[in-house]
Amino acid sequence: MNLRQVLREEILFFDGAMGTMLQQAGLAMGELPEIWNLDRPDVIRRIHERYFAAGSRIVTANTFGAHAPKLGERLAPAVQAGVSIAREAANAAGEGHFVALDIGPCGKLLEPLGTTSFEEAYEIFAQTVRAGTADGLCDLVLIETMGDLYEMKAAVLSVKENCDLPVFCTMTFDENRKTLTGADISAAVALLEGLGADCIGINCGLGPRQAQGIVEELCTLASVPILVQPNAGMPVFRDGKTVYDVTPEEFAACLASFARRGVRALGGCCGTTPAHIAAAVDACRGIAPVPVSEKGRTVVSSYARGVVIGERPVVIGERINPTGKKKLRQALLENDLSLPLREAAAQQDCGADLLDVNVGVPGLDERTLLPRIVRELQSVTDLPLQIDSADADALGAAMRIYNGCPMVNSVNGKRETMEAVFPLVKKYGGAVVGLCLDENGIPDTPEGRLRVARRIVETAQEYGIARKNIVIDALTLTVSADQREAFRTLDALSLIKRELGVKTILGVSNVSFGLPRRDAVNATFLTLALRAGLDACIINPCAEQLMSAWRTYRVLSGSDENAVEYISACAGERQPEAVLAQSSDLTSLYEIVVRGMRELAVDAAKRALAEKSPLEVVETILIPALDAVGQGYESGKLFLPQLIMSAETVQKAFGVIKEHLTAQDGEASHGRVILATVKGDIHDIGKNIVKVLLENYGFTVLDLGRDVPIETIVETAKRERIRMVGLSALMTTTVESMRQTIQALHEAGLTGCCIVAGGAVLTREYAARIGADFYAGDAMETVRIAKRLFEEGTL
Amino acid sequence: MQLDRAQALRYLGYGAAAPDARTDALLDECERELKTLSTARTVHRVYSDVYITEESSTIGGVIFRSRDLAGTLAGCSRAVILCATLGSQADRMRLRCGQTDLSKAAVMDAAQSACIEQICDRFCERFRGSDEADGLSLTARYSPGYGDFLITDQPKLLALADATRRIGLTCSDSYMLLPQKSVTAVIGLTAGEPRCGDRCSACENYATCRYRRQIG
Repeated sequence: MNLRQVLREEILFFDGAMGTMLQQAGLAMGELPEIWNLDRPDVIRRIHERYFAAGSRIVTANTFGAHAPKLGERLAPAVQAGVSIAREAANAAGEGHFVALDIGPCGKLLEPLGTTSFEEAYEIFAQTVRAGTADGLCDLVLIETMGDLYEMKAAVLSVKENCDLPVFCTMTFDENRKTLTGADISAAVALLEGLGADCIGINCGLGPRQAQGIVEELCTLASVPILVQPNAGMPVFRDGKTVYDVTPEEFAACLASFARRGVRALGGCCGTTPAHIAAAVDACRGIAPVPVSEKGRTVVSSYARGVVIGERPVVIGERINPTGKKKLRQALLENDLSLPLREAAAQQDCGADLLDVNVGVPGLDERTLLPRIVRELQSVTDLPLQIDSADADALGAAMRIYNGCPMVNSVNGKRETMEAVFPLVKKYGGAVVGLCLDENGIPDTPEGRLRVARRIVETAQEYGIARKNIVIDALTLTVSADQREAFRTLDALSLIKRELGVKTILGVSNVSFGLPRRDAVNATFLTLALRAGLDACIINPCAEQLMSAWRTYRVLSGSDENAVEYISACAGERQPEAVLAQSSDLTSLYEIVVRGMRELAVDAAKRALAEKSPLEVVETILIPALDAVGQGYESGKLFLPQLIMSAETVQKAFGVIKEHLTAQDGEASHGRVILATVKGDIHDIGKNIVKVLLENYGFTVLDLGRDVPIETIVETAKRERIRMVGLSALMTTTVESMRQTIQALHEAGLTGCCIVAGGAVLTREYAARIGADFYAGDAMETVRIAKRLFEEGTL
Repeated sequence: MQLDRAQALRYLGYGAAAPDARTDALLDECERELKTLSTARTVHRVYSDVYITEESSTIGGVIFRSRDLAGTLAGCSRAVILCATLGSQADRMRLRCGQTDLSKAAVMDAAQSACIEQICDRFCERFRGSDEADGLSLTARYSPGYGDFLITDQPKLLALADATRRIGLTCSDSYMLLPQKSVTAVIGLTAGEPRCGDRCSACENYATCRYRRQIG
């Protein structure tokens, strides 16, 4: 009997808790349940039999916690035994009874919040999947109790890439309808449907009553069958024990209501027993399965939320794109991501719904940079990203590690682009932008562009990509070249929307290329395009005129109900930090640095440059001011936040001064320093403070980041001929990692390279003991050491 | 919950000194943001099979080799394992600051540390006098990293409270708690006089530490 077919026709029952039953049978605290597959298989089999007898159609093998880090060499035997036992019980129960390989969380928090990479998590799950499916005894894989969508993605891919079995996926939500790592239901549904799960839903965390709201939302959003496995209530403390106190009758009544609402697979988690399952099966007898309907939603998602395209116009921030942006291009070439990250934050603050990210610069290796910048962006923003590249390999690498379902920019009418990109969209989910051009160029009639769009939609279908996930770009060309272009695009947009029923997108800024006051032209074009049916616009959200056009259009179209958002946007003024500044106009740059008045730095620097040369400003104002602050800090008159604010003020002033420094002003850098938080450690505030201060004092910092592998530090030091390496560690356990790093640096023969160790857990003695040349108690001490090494040559 | 600003300032190295206007403003901002935090959670388990010697404590069959922990638990008939976390939302708050505003990141870090300690304090207040406490007195809470209670014992505490499943608290290979703003602790329950008092006074770095708790 085919499981997928049964799922289409019936309401399927899973089993109840395994852990509860094992504890009753004597499983001790800390004992690994999966070991009982080897040591006490009879107990396991008996539990499966009891659930089949109660009416379960699917039992989950006793493999929930079976991961290599916990089980080591016993992984394969324990998993294979677990699956065999379940299979025996299923065969004994007769036809129409199924076995699921059960996969739970791997116990490690994934990056950027944890130290386990996506690939490492994938490998852990893949080992379990291979062990469990090798003998062909499972009918499906259940991935459950996941609190992190990123971990879920790694697990789903590991199943899809290592076997052909149906995959059922359930997340755990709390009373706020969020997962542990902050994802909402919309993000979960978008990701799981995008990855091609056969059945999705919720398990654990809540009792049946508490789960009602979530079930309702799931039924509204999901286009695939839903699985719900609640606990037998919320845990209560009674008579010295923690118990789940929802009775089988109460449990069954709730599950029956879920079935009537449209849930197609049901079961129980913590605290449930065969009695709960039997009662539920009984209560659901005679309930007709509700057909699963396609909801037609176009959703892109991040780790936390889904953004729907088509309900209201969506703003995509265009600023992370090096085209025409010299500073950004320079930053990318220097491998410095702080500028794009700041742009991301700024665009989010201005109201962007999505962020475009493009790093196509000649000379840059997009295949490594694109995934890297996607990863970094996702650590500072919860907005979904539009991954923008002409390099399919770079796209694929970035889409794989992307946390959520991205918007992909782009394919066009040329067959090769579709052949390269559609398989990626099919595998990783998300929506894809289709450009209305092909090997013949850009059609100069709306009908011509419609033809290309139609070809894209039809080809997408061949790859199994639904129309709802195609977003067509009718292409904006500049009116400077041909004034008919604007209305041509708008007509094409309306035509495509009407004829194909797809979502639409435009890069608005192109229309005004070559004209003055581009924002004004763009704003009018945007308004017209919105009226013509535009669903998503790629604009600069920090351009007030554009956002104003967007907001006011939404008032006029009724999209902004009662103009609530518009009114609130008008009322909410951003509090400028200058609220704290007194006589702002006349304060000297020196004062401004000493007082850490970051927001005044740029203006004060410009004023200072009017009177002194750039080098003089640095040497007679900035450095002495920093020295004064540093002394104040070390003597306990000033404190850490003030030190940092002064350093940030100098950083901002430098931004202006650098533009005026020329080659004649001498060596730009006083020396190059590597900074890194060692492997296994992700504390980095201290290191980042050191970085800013060193840069303030004219040193160039190669910041390798945190949790840095030993080899990376050694290779970079060798390659760049580095004379000073600063290492940071904040735990007794990672000091050992520092010791190993230092040893590796010595063994690599890097004579002339001075190693400075820092971090709250270290002392001067300990630093010496692990082989460091110097101990730096704080950022100022690090600066002094750098000065002595590079400037005075004395150490 | 109102943020304990004095504790946040202590984590920033202020001791008893008053903050300047800008730091104060940053603390305001951080306090506002922390009020939106919805992922803070605690989980605890009370164990009655507790066996204490001079050198070790055995709780729920798990052995902790620490004289200092044993000293705190001397005379206790039960032990509470407490695990608490601000959750990953707090880590994300810090990551976001880290890129764009380093001084705010430093203040946020300190504010979050104060926050998680307050959550633990509040747990202890509520537990005291609850049915579970059964009329017994609570010792001060003792965590890995204090004295000779090594952080390599973190996984044991997580397992005893089933913290990974219940509140998503994990431990990296280098024994760092993740999400980062988290606490695991042992609290003794005794019918006699409990070992309480200032946690700092028992620490070997007491003389030189910049972040020492002020008495009173």
